[in-house]
Amino acid sequence: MVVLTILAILAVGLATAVGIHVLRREYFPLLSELERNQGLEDALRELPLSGGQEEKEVEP
Amino acid sequence: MNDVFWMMILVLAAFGVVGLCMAKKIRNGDSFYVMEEKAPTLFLVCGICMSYISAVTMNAAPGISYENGPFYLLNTAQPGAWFGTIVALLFIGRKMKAIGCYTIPDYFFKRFSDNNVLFLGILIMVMAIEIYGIGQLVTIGNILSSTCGISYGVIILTFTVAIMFFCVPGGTWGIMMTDTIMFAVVLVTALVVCPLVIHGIYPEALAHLPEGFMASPFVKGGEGIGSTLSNVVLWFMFFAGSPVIITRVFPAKNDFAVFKATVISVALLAVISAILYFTAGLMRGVEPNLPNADLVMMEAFLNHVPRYLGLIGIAGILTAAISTASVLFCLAGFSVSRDLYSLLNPGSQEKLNAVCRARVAQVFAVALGGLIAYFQPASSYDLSTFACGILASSWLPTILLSLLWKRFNSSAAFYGMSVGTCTMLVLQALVSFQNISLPSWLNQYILSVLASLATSVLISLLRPLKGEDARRHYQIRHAMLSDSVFTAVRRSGRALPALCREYQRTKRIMVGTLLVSIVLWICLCIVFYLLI
Repeated sequence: MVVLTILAILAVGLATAVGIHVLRREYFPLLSELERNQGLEDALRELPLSGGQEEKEVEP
Repeated sequence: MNDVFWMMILVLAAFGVVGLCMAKKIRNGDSFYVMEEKAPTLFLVCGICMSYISAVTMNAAPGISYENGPFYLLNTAQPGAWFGTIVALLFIGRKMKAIGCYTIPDYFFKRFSDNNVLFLGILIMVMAIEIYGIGQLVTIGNILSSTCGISYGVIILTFTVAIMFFCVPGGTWGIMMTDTIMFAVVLVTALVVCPLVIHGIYPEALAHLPEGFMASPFVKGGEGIGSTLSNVVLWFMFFAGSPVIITRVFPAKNDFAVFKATVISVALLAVISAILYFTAGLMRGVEPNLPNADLVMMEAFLNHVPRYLGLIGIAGILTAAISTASVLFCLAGFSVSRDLYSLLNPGSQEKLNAVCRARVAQVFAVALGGLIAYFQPASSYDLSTFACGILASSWLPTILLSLLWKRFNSSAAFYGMSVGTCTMLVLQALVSFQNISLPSWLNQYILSVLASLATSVLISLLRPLKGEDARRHYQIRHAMLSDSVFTAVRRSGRALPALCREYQRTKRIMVGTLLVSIVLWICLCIVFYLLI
């Protein structure tokens, strides 16, 4: 039962840790910058929509 | 015809009506395939849990717990499945959603732009998914024919027609809505009916359990640590490469919903599996000589709780099988109507008659599954593990390598998937028909995955890297679901405060779920040692 308890907590903990890590990496910088800079938000609204499916800049 | 029969009719009628009502939500192909990406966290949690909880979870796995003890699976296969689910949702599913995939063959086309790979992906998808779905129908047929006194064929025909009502009119809308209601039934089964069964049989059952029955496989020794760990790896592969789990992410309304749903689902699945397998294990103490161990939960619900609660429990078993079958046939239909159609008609307007074509494909996929299930080709557990083995040995190495390695090219994907599938088919035939025995730590599933992996790596290294392959790899690697933030901010001036609130709320819900899980599992652990 101890093994099961550890594994179950580990599984939920892993999902939480990955979630918070990705949120902090992908969202936090953008959201905090947008909050600080209203002009940036307006400029952003002018850009065309991509939905993550347009071609992105390719690494050399 | 007894009360189980009328309960079955009630379940089918209720979910059939819900499925039919969802037809009004369908406006175009997007709404049919991915609910126009509007699914909230609740729908995702229920969808993920009901895809995970299948006939295997409610019948075959309790049967194994009844024979070998509850910890045989709870300490090996289940953690592997939980970790596999996390990889499938947070790594593979999110990435595929970020590049706009509606199906997994869709991803193969976007990554490799090769018709051979796409065709092989569709073939594997339809074959494996149909077999998996047939396994669910076989379970339903066996359970109800033994309890209702109706012939197996009539039950299969009834459920085939009922599943058509779930999938054909409403597509993913119908599936998600019925999954949400079905999950309530499964939750009541696991959190109310099973504890009452345990309460009813507890002191007597415990006294008559075989010695060492409640011990962990790590403590028991038995087949050895290698076999135990291979069981963890095997079930990890089954779930990480499962299209049923991966595609649950596609209808999500945003990235935040995916994170919340993953954490909540894993926490719920761990508790539900533990309760189900404990109940099945304890049943060994009161009914040690069941002729068919797979029906242990049916026995528990029919004979060890009041009748009305037992019927809810049986409804839970049926809905688990129906929901997984409907998702599986839905995915097979999507692959035919979308991927195969676009492969065969490259110049045509894909969106033209998309909904009508999708519905015809759904009818075809469900009817084919029902027809094969009528002949009862093998047991549900064998069919399900075989289908999962095909998907793990062909798709999982290809998907992981294509996401992580820029050298991985279309030839490597094609030969890797072919070798994995063929190795799996040959080894399974040898094991099933020639009585060849493989060591349990190196079974046919693990050998097939290794063969696929080795072929993929070898061909990738031998073939020169093409610029197109590398370009597509980087495009996919840099596509992020967080792009939805840009999209939302550009659509509405009030989106930013809402996003900031959603960001904070998501973090709080994830951490809160973790804390609740820790407290709950510590309490369960203490109760277990006090009682056992």
